[in-house]
Amino acid sequence: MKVALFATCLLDQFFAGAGVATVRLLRSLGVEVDFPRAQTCCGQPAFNAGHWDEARKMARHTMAVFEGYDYVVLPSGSCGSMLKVHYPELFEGLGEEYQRAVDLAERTYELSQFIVRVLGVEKLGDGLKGRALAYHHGCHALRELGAEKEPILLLENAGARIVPWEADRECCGFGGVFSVKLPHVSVAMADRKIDTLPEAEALVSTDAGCLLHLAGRMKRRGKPIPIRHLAELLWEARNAA
Amino acid sequence: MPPRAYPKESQALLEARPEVRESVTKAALHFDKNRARAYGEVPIEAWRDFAAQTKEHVLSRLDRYLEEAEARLVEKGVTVHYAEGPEDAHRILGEIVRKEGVRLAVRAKSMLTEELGINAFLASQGVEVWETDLGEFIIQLAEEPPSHIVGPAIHKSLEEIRALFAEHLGTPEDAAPEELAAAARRFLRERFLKADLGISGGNFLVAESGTLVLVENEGNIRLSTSLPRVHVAFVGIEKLLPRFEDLSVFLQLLARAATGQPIGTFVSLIEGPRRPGEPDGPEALHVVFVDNGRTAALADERAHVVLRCIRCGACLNACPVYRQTGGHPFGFVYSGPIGEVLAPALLGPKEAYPLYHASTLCGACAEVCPVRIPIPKLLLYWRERAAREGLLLPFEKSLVRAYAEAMVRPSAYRLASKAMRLFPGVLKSETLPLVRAWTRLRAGLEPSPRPFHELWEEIKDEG
Amino acid sequence: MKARERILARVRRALAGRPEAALPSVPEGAALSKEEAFELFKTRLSAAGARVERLKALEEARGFLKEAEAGARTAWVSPLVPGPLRPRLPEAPPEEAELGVSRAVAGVAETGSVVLSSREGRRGQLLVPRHLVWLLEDDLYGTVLEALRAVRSENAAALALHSGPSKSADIGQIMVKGVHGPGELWVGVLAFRLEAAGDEPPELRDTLFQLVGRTLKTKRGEPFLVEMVNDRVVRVRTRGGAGKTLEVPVPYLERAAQRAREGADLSGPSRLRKEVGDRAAAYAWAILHALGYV
Ligand code: SF4
Repeated sequence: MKVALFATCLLDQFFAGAGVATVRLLRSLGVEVDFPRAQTCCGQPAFNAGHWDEARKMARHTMAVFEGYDYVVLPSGSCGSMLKVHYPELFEGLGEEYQRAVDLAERTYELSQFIVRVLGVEKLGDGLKGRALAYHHGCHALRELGAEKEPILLLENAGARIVPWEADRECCGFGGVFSVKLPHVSVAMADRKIDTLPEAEALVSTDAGCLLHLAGRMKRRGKPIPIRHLAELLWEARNAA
Repeated sequence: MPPRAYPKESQALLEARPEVRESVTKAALHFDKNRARAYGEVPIEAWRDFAAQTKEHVLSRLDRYLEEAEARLVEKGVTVHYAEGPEDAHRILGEIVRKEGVRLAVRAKSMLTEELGINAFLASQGVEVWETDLGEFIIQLAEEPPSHIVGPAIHKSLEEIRALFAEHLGTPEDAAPEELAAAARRFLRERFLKADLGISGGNFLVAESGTLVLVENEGNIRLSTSLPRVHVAFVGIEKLLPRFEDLSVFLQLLARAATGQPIGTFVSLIEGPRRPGEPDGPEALHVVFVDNGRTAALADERAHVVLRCIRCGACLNACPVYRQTGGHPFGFVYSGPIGEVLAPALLGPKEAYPLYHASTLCGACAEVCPVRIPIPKLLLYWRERAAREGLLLPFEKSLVRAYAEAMVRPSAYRLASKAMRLFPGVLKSETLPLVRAWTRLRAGLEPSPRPFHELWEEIKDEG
Repeated sequence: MKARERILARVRRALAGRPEAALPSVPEGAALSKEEAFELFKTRLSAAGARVERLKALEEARGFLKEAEAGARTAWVSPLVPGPLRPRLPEAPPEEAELGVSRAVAGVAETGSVVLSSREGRRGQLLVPRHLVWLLEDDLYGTVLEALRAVRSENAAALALHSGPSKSADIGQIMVKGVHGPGELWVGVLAFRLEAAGDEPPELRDTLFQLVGRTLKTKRGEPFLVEMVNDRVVRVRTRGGAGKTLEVPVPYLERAAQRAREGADLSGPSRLRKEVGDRAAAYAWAILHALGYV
């Protein structure tokens, strides 16, 4: 099984450790992981803002980079849904390119879904015993990829307790370009998340963008709790076993 | 205040009146919770499919259904009019007002009459007009537009309403909600009994039977359509349903989506003016079919699906963007998710800019919409058109172009990655506009000491 | 009508070449037994803040009525309400009455609704602070769909579904009852045949009202609709193509009912003609039959 890691640009730059964790985790599960060096950004910011020509350009690049792998795994729900859901939309009616987009979409998985659905693994280890975590469901992971159960399952099966959080499925307000186009609404949304956040030792999510935004806001308000990328915790779950 | 002012208006509201955010969030989440429970009690997915398909069918043969509805209405003694926009609507209403000698009108909550500016028009004709829905009455006193399709006054706290009623109706400063409602009831009851004209919208209009359907909880719509001697209903051309029996699903779906009730407390099924032998009811009934941008929306093959909307407000309640401010900053009659996609469809993408950018594309709206309008997809559609038609700032276009160029050149990407670490101050800048938009309200970004693609070189040969 | 032509033309242009989207069939709900229907009806209406009682005999109905009368000095009463179920209060116009009494043409279990007709007048359904509605158990349907089918042939300018007292949460999200419409809704479900109840037999006049909106069959099996009842006549409409209307005089029905009580053989329309004459005897006989007189 030839698996390519698409680290995604935000994680590459801001959560490099989560990239390392992803590689080690997948290898520990017997997966041969490659990191195609030409990868950059999936094009989602341009796509969401309506610049589809530019988005197509980046998508073509990404499709070329990931040609030939059995699976493409992303430690990200947002970029995952860009490849899995929006690439085919982007090339709709464009014949051969559309086929390539669909083909890539079929091979693409968000990390936790890859582990549960493709590898069939539901228990990584016991490394999270006694840990109390708040889990933020990124919108695209949740509503476009349907990755609702997988991350929770893997965390809980490793002994973590996911604390109940009334706003855990609400959007954090990041939204890529939205966060700088409408910053006040964006942080008001973050504040709702932060104000309802129960006591937990860390705030976890599979999306780097959401985490950066929430962390930035918590820090500005002087009320930070540690943020952790899902991949790091899953590796801890496995590694401590 | 036009849609264009949304960024400024939303900021101003959040900064100056944080209590609005609190009221709206509380009310909308309450509605949404009830909706979620109510959806769980019925075969909701089958109903949503049915409703979406039925609406899609009507829209695909709208000309035929309009003609059928008109014929049935006329048979039942209804006078049918058509209005292309506000001017037509005003002319038609003006003629009725003159012919019938109308001096006092009561209005039953309707978003379409909001679109058409009916209140201001009637006032200009010397007609006294009263909003009779309690929420609408509150905002009429406050001289504000509605903030929500279903709960027009959800942005108002009890304290604000108390002050408003004390000023206008002389209720005590600390009146209980019951007392406030009773005061409104007394005040409006007098007007109901004296009004010459009742104005309503229409939730549905059944083509095969010519039935005008109105849904509410207070009884004010029934009163407005039963007591005055003339009833005028403004109905969007998209409100048609083919069959009387379709109501069995739509009535329940609408109520469950809007407030979580099994059905609206009062549902009116109106088929013409008072009949011989009936003790009361209006002597004349006019139905005005209104276009006001709907045929333009219909002509857009992708965007026409917004015309399925049954104005339940569920998408507003589910929307975290809407919940921060309520409807006012949107600067359009319809706000929230549906407003963001109705505005460009009815007004055109230029006029509606940048409402369709006021979304993170989180998808919560599409998850709840009873007629399955794919709102996030439509938002993307309008954004793409706006970019293609050059409606965005030239600055944005060049920025995106440069970004895309860099991203298809891995070497450029890596260079930028290095640069970011050589000049860490850039990401914390308080002066670069784009960075400042981030750092003003959030701590600056801190990149990992080394990017992952560099770390990879060290771990690639690990066991 | 230039606007009309222009709008229709724009619609046609917009739809040119667009295929007709399929129209799905209306989903049928689950069928409910009589008991289940009443239970659901009561659950829903009670949850909406209404008072609901199943009344098994005329005395029980009178008791319920008495409770509803409490504290009220005047009443508005629908002409569709039969004598024994009319309050013993001075009548007043709807805008003054403190109690309103209606007769529903149907009820719906799944939504907890009563269906009211404009034939009885609308003001009385809306302006009174307390609204009592009588509903025959036979007119209670499980689903909205069944009820809509049943009331489709009602000859009225307006029908209304009432599913609880008037309410609003527009003031700070706090639920307040009795905004504009009645603040109290009482529903008495009549689970008995009116004419079989009580010591004194009710007047035929009072029982005729329960037939309004129902479809009956003549002895030869021809269906017809009881469209309207007043003090003078029962108006029926034959089904089938043209659907003509006929009027059966109430005094004629009363004479026949009297003869029946005296033991005359009225086993069919022809016997009826012989005994009291022919005033739309086929329909008159079916009406008397439906009420249990013949
Ligand atoms: S778009 Fe859907 S959810 Fe929103 S108001 Fe319209 S019908 Fe309701």
